[in-house]
Amino acid sequence: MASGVPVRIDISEKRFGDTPLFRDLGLEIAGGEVLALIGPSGVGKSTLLRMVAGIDTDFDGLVEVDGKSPERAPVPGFVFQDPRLLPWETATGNLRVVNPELPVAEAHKLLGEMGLAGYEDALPGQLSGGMQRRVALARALAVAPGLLILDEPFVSIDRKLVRELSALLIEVIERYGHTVILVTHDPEDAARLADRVVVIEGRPATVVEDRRITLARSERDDAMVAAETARITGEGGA
Amino acid sequence: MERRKQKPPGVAGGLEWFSLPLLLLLWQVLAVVVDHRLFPTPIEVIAEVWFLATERSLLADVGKTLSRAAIAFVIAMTAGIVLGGVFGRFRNADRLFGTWVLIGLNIPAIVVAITCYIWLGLTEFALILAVVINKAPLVTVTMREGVRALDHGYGELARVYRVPFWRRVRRFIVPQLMPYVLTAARTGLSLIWKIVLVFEVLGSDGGVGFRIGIFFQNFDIEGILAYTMSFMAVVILIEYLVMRKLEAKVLGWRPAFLSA
Repeated sequence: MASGVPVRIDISEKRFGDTPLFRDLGLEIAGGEVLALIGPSGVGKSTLLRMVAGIDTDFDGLVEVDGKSPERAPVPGFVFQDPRLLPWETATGNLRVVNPELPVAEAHKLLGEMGLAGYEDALPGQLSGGMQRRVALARALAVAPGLLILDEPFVSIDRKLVRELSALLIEVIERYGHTVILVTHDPEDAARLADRVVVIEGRPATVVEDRRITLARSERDDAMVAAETARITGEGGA
Repeated sequence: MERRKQKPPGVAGGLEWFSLPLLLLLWQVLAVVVDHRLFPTPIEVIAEVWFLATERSLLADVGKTLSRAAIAFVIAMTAGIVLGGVFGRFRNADRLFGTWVLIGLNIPAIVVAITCYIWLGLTEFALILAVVINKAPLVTVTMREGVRALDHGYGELARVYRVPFWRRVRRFIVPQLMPYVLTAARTGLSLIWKIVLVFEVLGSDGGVGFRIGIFFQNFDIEGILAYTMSFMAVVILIEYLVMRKLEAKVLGWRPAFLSA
């Protein structure tokens, strides 16, 4: 498995029509760092992820993943807002469709790590919503990524499931050491998972806060998460 | 965590097996009630089928019509899938040729058949071409809608994971289009054999339509129904032995199949 790769974002300008979405936006993400990107809807968080993933190249400036342009860098693991599983492929098939070189046994092992042992041959339609999201995470890991991109992975699911998936994600982060860019609208998710929280606002979007969370993820209890969430939202002391 | 449970088939699933016997029973009752030489019972028609199959040319005629329908079906499906794909994918092509498709959809089949016969003579080629011209626009329209309905989310998924073109076609696009292909195939089969029969009546040297035309001139209703029943039997066999199995194989992942 690849270890985390550094990411450099230095965008001169990105427009949607006449409106600049980003102007002079810069971010350096160290290898293995877990960065949570927070901001209001429409600020451009998902667009930024697509630029890092190399599927949006219509901008002035530079994005580098491991020192290369995103299109030339190794394929990132990408988890979308919805599970986006191919409904005609089994759980194993959904992993191998993005990486046919992945041995079946390895795919089964990954699904097992996601708590899906016994469901390797299940179709997405036979799985619950939470299980589908686990398959989506396993698919992201199937390409052995140095960079894991998570675009609002907990949107539209209940808090209990968010807790379960957060715990799973923490296991994945600790085990594989990927660089992670997590887009979320919920500061609590950021406080629970991230090493660093970046808040962007406005149009063109600018970084209004960039703070580190030094406490190890395993030591973050509910009180700490609540306090950190309050700090991120500006409701607590600095 | 639990896999979603599937419903057991139940009694409702078996109802389908009563459908055909029920139709035959209804026919038998009506024929007995009407009691007229122009309204034979299904038993009389089945006896006529046996006679025509063993003593006359029913099997050869059905074979001839089937082969014409099969050739026209394959050509119309191939052309329609390609054209529908192009028109669905490229707006300008659709703008330029959309009206042609509209004309093809609405031009009366009989006009196409007569025109082809006048231009090309009473040939096998003219008959098959006329059927293809009638059917291909319907396949084109169905496939165009299928391509337009392709999920952009899966396209984005494929781009993010840099799935190569042919794998993308095979694993992402074709499965999404299969419901449309099967719809086009099913409506195609039902439409094509009807058109082939009409064109055979108009001019051919054999086939179900040709023979029904002769039976009509003699007011031989038993012969007409015997040929119709034979062809229906073939169509039902194709439906159950080919179409349903194909459907279950390529669309087995759909919720309707998973819960069936």
